[in-house]
Amino acid sequence: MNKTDIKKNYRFVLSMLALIVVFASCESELDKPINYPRVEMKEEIQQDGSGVTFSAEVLTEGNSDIIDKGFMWRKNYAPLPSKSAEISLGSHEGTGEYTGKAQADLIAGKTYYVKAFVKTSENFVLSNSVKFTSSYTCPPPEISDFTPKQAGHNEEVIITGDNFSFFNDNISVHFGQTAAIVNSECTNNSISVTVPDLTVDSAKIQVEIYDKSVTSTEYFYYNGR
Amino acid sequence: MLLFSFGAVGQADFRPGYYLTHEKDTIHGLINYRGDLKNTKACIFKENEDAERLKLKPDEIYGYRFAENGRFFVSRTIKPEEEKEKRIFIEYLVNGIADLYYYRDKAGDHYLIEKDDGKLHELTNKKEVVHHEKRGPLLKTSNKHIGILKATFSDCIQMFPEINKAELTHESLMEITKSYHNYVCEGEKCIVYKKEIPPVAIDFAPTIGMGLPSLSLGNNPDYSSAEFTSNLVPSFGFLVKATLPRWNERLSFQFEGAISKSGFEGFNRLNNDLYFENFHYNIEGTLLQTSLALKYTFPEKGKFTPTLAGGLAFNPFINLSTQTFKENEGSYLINTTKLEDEFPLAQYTFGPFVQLGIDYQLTDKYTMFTNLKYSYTFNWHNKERESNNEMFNTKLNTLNLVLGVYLF
Repeated sequence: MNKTDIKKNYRFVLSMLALIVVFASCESELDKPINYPRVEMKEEIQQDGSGVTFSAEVLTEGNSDIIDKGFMWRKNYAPLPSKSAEISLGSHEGTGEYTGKAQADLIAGKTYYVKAFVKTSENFVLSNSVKFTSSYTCPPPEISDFTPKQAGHNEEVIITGDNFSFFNDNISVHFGQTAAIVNSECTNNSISVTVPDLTVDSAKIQVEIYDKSVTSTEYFYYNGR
Repeated sequence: MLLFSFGAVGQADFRPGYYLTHEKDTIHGLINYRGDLKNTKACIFKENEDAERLKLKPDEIYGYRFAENGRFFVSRTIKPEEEKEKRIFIEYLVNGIADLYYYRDKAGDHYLIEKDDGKLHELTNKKEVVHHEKRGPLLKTSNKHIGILKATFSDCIQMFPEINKAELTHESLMEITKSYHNYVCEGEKCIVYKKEIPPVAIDFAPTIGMGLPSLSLGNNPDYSSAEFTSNLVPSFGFLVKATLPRWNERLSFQFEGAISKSGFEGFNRLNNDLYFENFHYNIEGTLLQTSLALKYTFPEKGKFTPTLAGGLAFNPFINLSTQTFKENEGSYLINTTKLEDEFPLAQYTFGPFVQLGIDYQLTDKYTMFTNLKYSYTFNWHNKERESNNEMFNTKLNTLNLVLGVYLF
């Protein structure tokens, strides 16, 4: 084979490889008539002594910015907004994975369903659900404050702290010996209660969640009826 | 496509060669290789690629010969049975103490033997059905060729056992003619004008390629409006080409296998009046693409040789995994569910394919090729869904660009 032949062969091989590259660039994309972001909950769930770590992937961005993302979970049933425990992780840019560690409303040995969520100004998107059995139990509740310090019967008091519950029916609050009504607007950091009809002028507030209780160090002062 | 292929088959196939004038002058150039029937009638010659074609009839030249395969045609007058004398080109198979010739006409193959008397004797073996009183109809062969061979080679009775087994084929008659020459002529070897052609020529090539498969599921209202796109996937495989040169050196059988990791993304949107149901399908698996084809190789254009093939493709999926996500799209809330139903995809599809290709002579030993192949495959199949046995049609169309090098 002389030099000209080698040159010609070289050109032909390069042309063929170029043809393959051109062919490779002909990828088509599915045109979907949806404008919301898509999110997929991953099956793999990590559990250790510090909590349960979930992971999810934003598959497509949609037409609006993602202003919040996170996970929500619920015992025995698929989670739904406002009827689940959740962690909010803030805004998200582009596609890709994110993770979050859950601690609230988890009891070892119980079965839960978890979904990832992403939120835009127009849509709230919930992923597929993944079932898991928790090996982690949430720690006892902690009260850091409550406000107002002084209130009358049927007035609202907000208790703030940590390791509370998103489900008001799991929470029991007592002003001294008297039980209070726990309102539905609860998170793991705040509990809304309605002051009961007290027979004392002052009382400490006791919060009990999943058989673990904590009592406030400060007294609540009752204004009467 | 069929018209194209027939047209292509009829096109000129000029190969290097030469013709001999009656004065035995040699004129080199290109001769149209037209097959056994037409080669007997005229020699279509041109001095070079750009020159005009000359149609040389048997009475105008002594003969012509192809350089590549050595086939040599000489002008001779023959007298077939129940026909007038005619002058045609007959193929010179063996030039020795005895000469062996061959030609083909509408009646079939003819073999002629000639000794130093200059007379051509046709070797025939007529077959006819005769009725035997006891044994009924019997096939009787005349075996006249054996008699003619014995008469021609009567000075070499040692060959008679071999002649008794003679058949009217190139191999058998060329072997006998060569044997006769070797018995009676110790000095020179006889000339065989045809290169030894193997009965089967096998070419093997590893291949790489890029494939663009597209998938659809027909015949079911829940899926027939679903759209699927695929990733462009690299593939690795092999190609085996089997040519039967004694039958037709331009036609070959091609078996190809290629493996690729394939993924499909599907989408379907159904409106149930209250909200939209958006279905997302993810299909992943290994796609094994196999095909068997009949391939036609066009005459070379320099180092390039176009090819055309068609046949059947069989594409099984291996390790298929599918996922279906359903999204209920309300005005604000979109809730996703992963469906546990098995996606109703067939495990394999089959159907026709066509392929256009170019072979490129890299060196004397190696030939590179590129093929563009389109296959349309499908599979009607039943799948149990929600306690019903439903019919689906999995359609898999693939466009592949393949590159390979024939190693042997």
